[in-house]
Amino acid sequence: MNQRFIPLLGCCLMLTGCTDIRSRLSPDVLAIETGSTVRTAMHATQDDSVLTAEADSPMLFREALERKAGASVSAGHLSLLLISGNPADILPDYLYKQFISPTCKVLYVPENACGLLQSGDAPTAGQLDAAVSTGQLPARTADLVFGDLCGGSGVSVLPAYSGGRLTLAAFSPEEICGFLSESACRGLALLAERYETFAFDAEGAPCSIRSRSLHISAEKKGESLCFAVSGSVRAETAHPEAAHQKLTEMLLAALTETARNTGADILFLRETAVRNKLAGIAGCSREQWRSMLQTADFCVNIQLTA
Amino acid sequence: MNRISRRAPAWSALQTASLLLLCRLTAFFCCDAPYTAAYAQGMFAAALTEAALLLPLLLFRKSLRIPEPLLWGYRFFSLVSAAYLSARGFRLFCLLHLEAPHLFAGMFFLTLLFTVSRTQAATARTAVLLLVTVSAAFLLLPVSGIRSAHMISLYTSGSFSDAFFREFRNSPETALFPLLITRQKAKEQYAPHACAVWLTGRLVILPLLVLFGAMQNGRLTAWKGSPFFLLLARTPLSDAIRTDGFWMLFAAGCSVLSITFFLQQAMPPFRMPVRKLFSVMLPYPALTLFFLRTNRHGTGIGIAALSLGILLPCMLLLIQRIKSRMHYRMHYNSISERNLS
Repeated sequence: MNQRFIPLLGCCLMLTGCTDIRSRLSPDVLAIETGSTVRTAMHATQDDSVLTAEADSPMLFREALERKAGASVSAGHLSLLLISGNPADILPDYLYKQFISPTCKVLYVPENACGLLQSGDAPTAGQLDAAVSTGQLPARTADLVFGDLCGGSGVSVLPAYSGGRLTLAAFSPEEICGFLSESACRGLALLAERYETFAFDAEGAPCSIRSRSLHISAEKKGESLCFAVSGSVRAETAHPEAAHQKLTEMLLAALTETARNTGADILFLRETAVRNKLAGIAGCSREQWRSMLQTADFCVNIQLTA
Repeated sequence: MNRISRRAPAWSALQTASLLLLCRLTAFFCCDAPYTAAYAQGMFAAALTEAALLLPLLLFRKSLRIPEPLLWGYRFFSLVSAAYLSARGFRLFCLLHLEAPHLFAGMFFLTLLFTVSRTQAATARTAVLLLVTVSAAFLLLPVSGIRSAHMISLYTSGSFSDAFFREFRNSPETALFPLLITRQKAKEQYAPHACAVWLTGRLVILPLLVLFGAMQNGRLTAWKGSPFFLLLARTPLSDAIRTDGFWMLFAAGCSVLSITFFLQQAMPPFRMPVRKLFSVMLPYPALTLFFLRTNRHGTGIGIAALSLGILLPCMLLLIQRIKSRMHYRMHYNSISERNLS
């Protein structure tokens, strides 16, 4: 009876071919610089060292690092990817080839990402998480950026490290469109709802948001679109009027600096327009949608309650 | 009663439904269409249409007799379906970046050789076990991903008609429905119960899963590969626990079991077990290679499944009823003539 299972034993033995983990490096942070020469650097978790290499193409970073390290490289546990160069040239291919996981954090560094990693001055994934949980930045991962590039307006926004501080950068496949102001970053964080605490200064007194119920609606006014943020915010503050004004500024900056200035749709504005049954939105191309956003009007109408 | 029904093992309603649902799940895992609200609507509408069309068959199943020559047609379609699912499964595993796809294919074939040689009752029991496991695992998905789901993503554009017709292409098991409902005519509740479980899965569970996937995956409609595995990659149970490995194993197990089911249904009624086994296991790889080389036979599979599963049995029922009525009338006329004379 049991002799029937003897062939299965052979199959089990074949499945035990485990790779020796001592000959495999798994980086937690990877940096890529594109341009005339492609440079790559990684921080290996095993020996807490930074390794740099030059590659012929961003897609060949693994081979270049493997040659330098003399060990195989597996990016399965990558928690942060630093990019110098246009992220739109790299991210879709990295996702398709499964070099990075969809929820990997990506940080744009205007120049010298490898040098930043080597010097130990690069922000960590923990710092990015802290920025998200304190409402400084919205949560932006590789998959969300890819979704905006393919399904939004072709322009996206991702965290950036510029001038020694964390901010957001807007980019399209053609160019880097620019950096967003601190006010816009905070407005986007407020709309994205992924923060744990959201506090800011209102005329010298702190204001802390307890809960919020905001929603975006769209309507057509003549030929142009109009997006409105409405709802209520419950906050603890000594200066409600100043807090209200500051919140309105943040939300308006978030809408105008992403949609109007760069044509980026990271707040699901297209889906909002479809939900509100505006004609001709679902079928329009990314370029058409981008130009429609750049001519749209934006308004904020929120109530602040204690 | 036809020969297949005479020899068929006594499956319970749950076992039959599990087998049918696992076949549907295999096609679902292998499908690369992005999750949208239109996908869920199309899927629901198609399953509802099929349910409505299958209802008369279910009601008049006792008078349905499938002639022996037609059984060969069903057997051949089962073989084709097994090859079709195998080709799709192989493509899915290639998209998941297998290190050695040829070794995988070889081991998959050996596993199939082993499972097909087992009894149909064993296949049915395993199907229930797998379905119970997957039902429990499906419950974890919304729990782990509720924070990152966006209702607004449901308004991402998608095609209803594509989803509607895709559902027929992805459910080749429909073709075997007449064979399964005529299995145990003595048990009154067998067929309705099996049908109810199967349709609950297709009408409720899968569309809900697609809706959840649409809320999670949102704009990632240009993603190349299985949206289900994308959904899993984006919704880890916690920061430390991922479930991709479990689902990969489950997808492989699901493929093996559904293909085994189709191959066992395709086996002709030969006496010698070895002859029976090789009569399906020899043409099966050739057909799989054919489907691997060409990628445009889904529509044909959908049409054939609908024809064999619904249209042909309905026509048979109609013909059999007309024949029996004519026979009754002739009998009545002969009695009347005899009485008159």
